[in-house]
Amino acid sequence: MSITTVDNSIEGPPTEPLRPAAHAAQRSDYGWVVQVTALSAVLGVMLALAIRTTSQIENSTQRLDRLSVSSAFLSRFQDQNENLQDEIKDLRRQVSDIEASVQTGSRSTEQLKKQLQDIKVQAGFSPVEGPGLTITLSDSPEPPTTLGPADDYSATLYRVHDQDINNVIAELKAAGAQHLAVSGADVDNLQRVIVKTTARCVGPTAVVNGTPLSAPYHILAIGDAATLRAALERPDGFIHSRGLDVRKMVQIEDSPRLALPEYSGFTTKHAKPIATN
Amino acid sequence: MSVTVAEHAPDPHVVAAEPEARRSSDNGWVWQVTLLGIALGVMLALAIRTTTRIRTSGLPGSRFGVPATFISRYKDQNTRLQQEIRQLRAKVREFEANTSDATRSAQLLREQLRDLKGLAGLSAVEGPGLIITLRDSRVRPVAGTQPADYLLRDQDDVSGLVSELWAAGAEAIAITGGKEKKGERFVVSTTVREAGPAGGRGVVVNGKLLPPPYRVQAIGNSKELRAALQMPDGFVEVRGLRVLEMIEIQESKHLVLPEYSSSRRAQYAPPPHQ
Repeated sequence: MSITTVDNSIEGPPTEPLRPAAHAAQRSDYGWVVQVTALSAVLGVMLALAIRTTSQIENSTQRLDRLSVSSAFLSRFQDQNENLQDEIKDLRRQVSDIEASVQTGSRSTEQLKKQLQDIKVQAGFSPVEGPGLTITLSDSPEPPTTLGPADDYSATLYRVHDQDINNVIAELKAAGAQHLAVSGADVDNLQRVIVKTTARCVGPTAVVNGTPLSAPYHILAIGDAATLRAALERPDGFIHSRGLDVRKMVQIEDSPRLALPEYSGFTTKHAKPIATN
Repeated sequence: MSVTVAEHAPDPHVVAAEPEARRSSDNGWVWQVTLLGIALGVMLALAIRTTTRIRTSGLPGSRFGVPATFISRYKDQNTRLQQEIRQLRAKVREFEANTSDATRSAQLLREQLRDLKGLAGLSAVEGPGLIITLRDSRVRPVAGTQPADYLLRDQDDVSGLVSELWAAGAEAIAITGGKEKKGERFVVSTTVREAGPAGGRGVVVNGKLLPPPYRVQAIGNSKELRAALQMPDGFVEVRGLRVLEMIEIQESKHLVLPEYSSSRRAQYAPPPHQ
């Protein structure tokens, strides 16, 4: 830009009358050389800064093809999400209360009510309490410092992934855990495990029941604590073969009294029950 | 810039008073360079501020902002939750309107039970969805690869696929193995476990041994389920199942999944109240 401008002033007077003046001006232009040089230097620095910033962003793990939004915008949706889940819990309790209060005077209705209550508890649609285990999964406190950037695979071994959560839950289910719930760092945001519950990594969070949770993850399991613990600590079990114990990424605690909430997400849209009874 | 030059051109005093003209044009340049300098200074300051802000933003790792996928996930989720709330409110109203009608109340209870059983896998359900087949690769091995690369990792691949389907919004899932027709329905306690050395190849689901190839049926929005399975960096791609022709995805308008039928009865804790 500035170079073009200077050129114009020296050799580009568009009309005849300016020609003698241009010659005179040429001498005094030597002062401009310094200024233009200084400007060019400043421009060069800016350009360098801009290039560095861009390449930093490109080098970061995130891809540029994903749009970015501010975290304030995100927290609005988070708040709304928690409010909606609370409201769903509220409404489900109302429905349960009404169901329990239905009086028809017939034995079959009483059986129906009992069956409904039992399945709700079993399937995760009623809150439950009981003794069991709390398993905490976190990133390793001692990640290897000797690993170079090429050792991406080794580095990921020291971080908790969705499959770690899913595998620990599977071990607990197989060992007879009756009720399960998962939370992230926010221990109040407990997500009950129902049939379709799974953890799926999205960015730095694990999405459980549609709700993003962040490490450390807590898995609450109601069941026989000794049996569940023995299953988790088996030498050929998931925790040891994955190296979660060696890398200090897992903590197992007995919990004499756990309170798990009911499922607070949405249900079905496409699957229709086939009437059999 | 060219505007400035053009301005000077028609000036009638230029020839007559040459030194004055030079001075006045010099003064013009002072302003221009000053303005330019200010503009550059502001730009430089902005550039530096942006750079430091990115560096000190304290976002996890080298992350820049929050990926838009988070927002769309929350948006979808919140829309679905609002639908659920509307349905639950309608349910409460319906119950309340029929408290005095014993027959209708009993019918509502039965409907509740039917829906819950369908949801939990305790009754058969129907709907659109996908049929996914997982089998060992039939692709001719490439030099430098191991024979094991062409075999399914039974437990990891089946549970990985099922997990991917649930995460993508599947509402009901059943699996069959080998030539078996009747599927094993997933309930809350269902796991996919390796059969182990004694059992040979296969996975154990609901206490039943299923040999490969596996056929997984999932009810849900088939477009969304398929898109999730074909996602770049997703489970199917990372495991190379498509390249090795180990997975086949079929859409179906009408699937029927059986109810959970294992004899192994789940024991459950009593509800907190009562």
